[in-house]
Amino acid sequence: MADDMYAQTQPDSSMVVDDPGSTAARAGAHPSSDAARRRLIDEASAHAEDGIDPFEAHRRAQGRGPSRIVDQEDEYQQRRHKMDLSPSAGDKARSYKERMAEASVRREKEEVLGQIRAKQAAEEATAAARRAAGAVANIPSSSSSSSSSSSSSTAAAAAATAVGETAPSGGAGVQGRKRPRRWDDDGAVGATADGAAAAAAAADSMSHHFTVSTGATGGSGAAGAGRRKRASRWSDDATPVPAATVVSDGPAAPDAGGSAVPGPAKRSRWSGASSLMDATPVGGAAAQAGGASLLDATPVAGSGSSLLDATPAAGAAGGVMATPTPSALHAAAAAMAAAGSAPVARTRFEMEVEERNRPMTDEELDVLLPGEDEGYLVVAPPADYKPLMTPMRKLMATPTPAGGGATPGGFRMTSTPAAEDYGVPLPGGASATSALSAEEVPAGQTAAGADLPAIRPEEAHLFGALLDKSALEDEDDGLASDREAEAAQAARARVQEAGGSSAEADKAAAEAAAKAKRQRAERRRDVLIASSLLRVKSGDPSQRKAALRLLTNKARELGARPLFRHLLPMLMSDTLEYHERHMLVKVMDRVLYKLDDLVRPHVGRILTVIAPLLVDADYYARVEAREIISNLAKAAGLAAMVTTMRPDIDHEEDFVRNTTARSLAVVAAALGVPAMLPFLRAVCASKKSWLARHTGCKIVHQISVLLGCSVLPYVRDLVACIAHCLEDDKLKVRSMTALALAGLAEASHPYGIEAFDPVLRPLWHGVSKHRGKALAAFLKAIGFVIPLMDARYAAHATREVMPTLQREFATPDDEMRKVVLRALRQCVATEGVDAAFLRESVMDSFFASFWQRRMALDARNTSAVVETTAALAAKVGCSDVLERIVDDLRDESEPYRRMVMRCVDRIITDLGVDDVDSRLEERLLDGILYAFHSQGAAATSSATRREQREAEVVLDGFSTAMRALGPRARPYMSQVASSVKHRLNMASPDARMQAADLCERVAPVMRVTGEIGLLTHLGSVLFECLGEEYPEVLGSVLGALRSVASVLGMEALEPGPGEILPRLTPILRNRSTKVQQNCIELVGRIADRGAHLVTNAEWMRVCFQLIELLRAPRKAIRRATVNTFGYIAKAVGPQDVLITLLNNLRVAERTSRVCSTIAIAIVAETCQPFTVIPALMSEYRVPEINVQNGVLKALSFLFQYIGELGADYVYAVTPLVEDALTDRDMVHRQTACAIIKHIALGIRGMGREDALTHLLNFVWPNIFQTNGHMLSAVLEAVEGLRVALGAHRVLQYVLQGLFHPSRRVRDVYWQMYNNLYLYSADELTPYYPRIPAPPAVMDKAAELRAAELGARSRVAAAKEAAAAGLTRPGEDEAASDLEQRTWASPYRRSYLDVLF
Amino acid sequence: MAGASDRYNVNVSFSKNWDHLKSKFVGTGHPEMTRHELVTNHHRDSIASAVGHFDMLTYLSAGQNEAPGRVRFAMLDRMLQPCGPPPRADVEEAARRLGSTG
Repeated sequence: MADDMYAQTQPDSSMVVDDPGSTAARAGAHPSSDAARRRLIDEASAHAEDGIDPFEAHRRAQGRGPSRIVDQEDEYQQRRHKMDLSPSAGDKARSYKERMAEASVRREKEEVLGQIRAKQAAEEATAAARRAAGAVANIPSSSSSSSSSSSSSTAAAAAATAVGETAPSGGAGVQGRKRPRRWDDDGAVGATADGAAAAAAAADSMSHHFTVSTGATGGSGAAGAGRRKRASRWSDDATPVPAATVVSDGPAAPDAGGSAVPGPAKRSRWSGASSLMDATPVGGAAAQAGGASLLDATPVAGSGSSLLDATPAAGAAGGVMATPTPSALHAAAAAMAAAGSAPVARTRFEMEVEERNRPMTDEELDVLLPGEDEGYLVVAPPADYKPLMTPMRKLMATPTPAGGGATPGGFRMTSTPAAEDYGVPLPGGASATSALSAEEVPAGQTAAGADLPAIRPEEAHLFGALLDKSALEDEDDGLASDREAEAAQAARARVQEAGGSSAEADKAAAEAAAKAKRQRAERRRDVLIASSLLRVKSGDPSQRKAALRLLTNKARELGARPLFRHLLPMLMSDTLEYHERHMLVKVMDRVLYKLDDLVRPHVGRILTVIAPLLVDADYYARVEAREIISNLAKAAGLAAMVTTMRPDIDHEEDFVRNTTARSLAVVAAALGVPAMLPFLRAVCASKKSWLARHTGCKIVHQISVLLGCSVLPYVRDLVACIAHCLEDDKLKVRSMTALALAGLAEASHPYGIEAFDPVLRPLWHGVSKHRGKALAAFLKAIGFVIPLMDARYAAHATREVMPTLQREFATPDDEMRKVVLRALRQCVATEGVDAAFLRESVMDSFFASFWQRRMALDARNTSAVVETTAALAAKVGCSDVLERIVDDLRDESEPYRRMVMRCVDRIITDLGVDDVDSRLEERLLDGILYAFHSQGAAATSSATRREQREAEVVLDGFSTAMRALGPRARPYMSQVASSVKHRLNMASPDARMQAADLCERVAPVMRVTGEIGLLTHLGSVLFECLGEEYPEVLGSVLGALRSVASVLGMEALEPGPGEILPRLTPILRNRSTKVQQNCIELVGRIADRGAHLVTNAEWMRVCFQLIELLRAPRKAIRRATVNTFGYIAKAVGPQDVLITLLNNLRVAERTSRVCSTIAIAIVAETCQPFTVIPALMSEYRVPEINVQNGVLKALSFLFQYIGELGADYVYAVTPLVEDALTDRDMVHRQTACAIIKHIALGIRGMGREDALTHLLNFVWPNIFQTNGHMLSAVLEAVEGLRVALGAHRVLQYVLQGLFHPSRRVRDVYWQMYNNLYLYSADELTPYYPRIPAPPAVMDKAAELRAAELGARSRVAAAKEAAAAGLTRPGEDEAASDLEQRTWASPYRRSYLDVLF
Repeated sequence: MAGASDRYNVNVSFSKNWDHLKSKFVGTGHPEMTRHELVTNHHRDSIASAVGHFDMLTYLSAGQNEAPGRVRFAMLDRMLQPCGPPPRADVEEAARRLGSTG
């Protein structure tokens, strides 16, 4: 007993090793001791054996982690690998009925397994109890272990018991003595000590549950005992040879559907094998040591090498043939594939193998093999036959060819891996790419495709088509035709041999040849698909693009099935990386769009692959998956989607249900909720399975998440759909329903309370009835429903729910706390809740439970608490809340101080400090100063934004409070100033930086309080700090100085700008962006306000420095620089600055040139255009393309900035623009178009139409440009001119080409016509042309009236006859005199309309 | 055929966003438009504009010596087929014309 207890209390030694934390801690405690060192080594080696990489976490943190998807999936997401891609569906889509049947079998299987597990647990419990009572005293001490986790010792115990006790254990009489273990079910009779030891060893190595079986009388005795037994696979082979075999069983192997139904007619796949075992001379010592359980289907004493195990043992009990072990073949094929990620691949593999490896029944064998009527006999194996089971013998055994081509028997010796198996590119790319023959690949593709991307060895199985040698042979046309001829010859020979006529022989030959040809075409197609996919997956961008286009364009020709046969396994592959998946998903998207309704048979398999992406960690993967599923839904239709997903709705696996629910929600969003409603109603009302109801509610929830506010029209229906689930029997369904209601209420806020009427009562009842997670769900729902209510009801509801909320204030559960805070915030924010109620019954408990140090540890928690507190403050007032928290500003925990500061900042920003009395004000300032003095590291610009925000919390709070206090802050100013001064001289750069930052922020407040003396003093202190060596700090000092200078004014600044600026000029050369930006802003400020205080020479020096800054990487710096040029030019006159800038147009660097042009434009704006335009125009004469373009660009910006001032300069620049528009260089013309656009927009309505029309005539010929930038520039110019000249003028130009014979011309003209129409349709109506009716349409009466009216209008019309000819000559033939080209006025037109 | 991504992009070239454009602005045209369609659009636009601007409507009704409501009704009536039914032999006709004019 003592041993027993010890065994239970003592932690398992292996557990200790597995726990790195404790080991490390212990190792750290005795760094020098040998034991510790040894332990470390042990641990490292243990990790190495487990395949655990100790540096993985570190690598991941560095962002250099493996990009393979499987490596970063969590356990939940990895469940997708268990989903079955349903191999049978590849050949033939299964019917709905079949799938439903499968689902029900699967469910039953789970149920049975669950019962077994439950029973086992119960039995173990009773056994343990019995042992504890000492009922079985004579059992050896090895039985002491009762933990099912240490299966080795239990197994040993079981075997030992079997040895020790000779009584038949199956009998009812001995049940009391027998320890009811699963592996004892059949009674371990006759097991030798060796067998037991082997069993123990096997169990040790695998830790799977295993079955000790005998074929002996014990087994049948047990079966007859009437005890409820698990129908063991082993139980029905009653071979009268006593032996014991130990076979391990994979975790997923129990195949209740298949083999749990033993019957005389059905021959279990196990029976042949195990009877072999029974005949084994070594008496059941055939323990398997191999690790890979998928191989265990073959009960041979294997060493784990799959190829060896695959050898079938010939002449089994059936006497006809040994069942080959396809699993081993698959294993061989997949060995390479599994190399990378063995465990995941293995589990999936087991699933597949189990599916394919169903036992062959006698009937099937009868069909396959010749029977008695053909003179064959099923013979029993000779009694003395013993198969050779020793491994060495097996090696020599001849493989038996069995089965046909479909299930190749025998083993296959793998050839030496070829070079390409190792990822070495195929020789010259010949094998694969040249397979894309000329007729299948567009010209140019073959050449570009000469180099396929490398195939990684672990994904070779996906690209079998490319590695297949027959594909190579297909290449050679001669060889291929030879092969066809051969096939034809063979067929002919066969027929002739069989005595067929020559005609029949010819026919057979032709068929054979055609078949060979067809196969060749199929192989080619496969190669094409596989190589394209490979290019898309791992090719370079150009390859990828071409292959993607190829796949998209030829999708329908290639066919849905072959495409998906390649694509889907690739998407499921373990070796896939993120970017590869993205590309493949893209292929899927395009292909779906092309295939359209052809995808319908493949919906299920596509969903199997794509649906798991809906729960992916990556946002973009989720979005892509959503898009694909919605496209799929649109292509395949609702019926197909629903039928496909129906069986998964009550799947026992949570993962499958989750993805199914999300997919269905996407379908609902794509096809409309009303279409889904009947189905949803049925699912939510399912009586058969609570899982279905649960999924139904989840679908509703996901719909609300996906649709957002557009769910509003369906809220009533959706709520009605799930309302009854709120009172479901199952807790999970109830909480899911509550969550769905919360989602719906959130989405429909602030409308739709009527829809929730039927669920209000159950919701409130639910709150009182539930605890834990379910309560959280209900509270969440209520929290979201309350804001929808009327004030009165909301107040009532809040009072109702408040006690529960308050009870949960103290919850230790993070989720619950979040929900409570959210619900509280929503309750508090509703209109009907008044301050008195909150003060009385909520505030105390709220602050007591949430304003604690530990709340500050988690960022999300912090913000939830702060938000809720702010909501409370908005109701009860600022001072009430501040009163409770300001003293915590002096808390010793920094995170907590920050949390308080954030809250103070938030509340003061929202509500101001009007109701803060002087005492509270003092406490607040005291606390803030304390927090400021004792804060930690400052934010550097290299820190992440989040860290920066975090570090600036105190500063933000400080400045917010000061700004809010305004003049009231005066008493504290001297304290603040001395604090700043003191800290500016501290040794710690952080302190200096914080002080400078604070100074920058409080300077305006200081001005408001009238402390000018303090400000001046601070200015001089800051000036002395300009020698600062830390760039971060220097940047802050410059910022502070700028702030002081701006509030103080340049004249009052001490020392004056004349002294400061020379110090700044060298600082402009600093490389730090923060310094540059603050410095240029300070310089700009001085140039703006105090330029006259500095000498011109100094300004020119600054100008030269500024040119450098035009290259700065940060836009804000460049903008500030450009503005500064404007100020300086204003101060010292434009000439000198302009020369500097114009010279800068000659430099090579584009950014610098562009910025110079902007600066020139700004100079022109500040110093009047006439000071700049002449210089610019003369600069245009420089025959240098950069300079000319620069001038044009400068003009463009210039006219943009000066707007209507431009009217004075239009005539001046027109010749220049004309020249540019007729230049050969496209950039000239493009920039000139931009100039015209800006001119036209600036001077509309200023009477410069003549110049603009002139310019339009120069712009117009450029409309046929194909370059995108150029074309859009031209169109924009035309748009600008439309604004300036009126739409009718442009319409006259456009009408010329609408019916041009050339499509290319018409395209452009119609595009412009549509633009005109878009922007000024109404304006155009008076100017629509008169288009004569063709004679066929014009009836007699109309003709008469036309003649009459036409005579009347002709005089007026003649005046306006435009130069534009509308109709082609041929159309005028039958026209009367009316058919002049006339621009009719609306009045006339209203009559003329009758004509048409 | 336009790719999936082009369907909703207004800024790509003309030929690709026609459906989208047409769905928002019915009066827009395309290079294959016939004269009859264009003229029909023009008439509808003119009528809509006249009906939409009340002063224009009163002006026209004064000119026709009719009540504004009646003029408005007559105009709205004409919105349906302002230029009559589309010519039947449109295709051959167009082909013939195109052939004759080059």
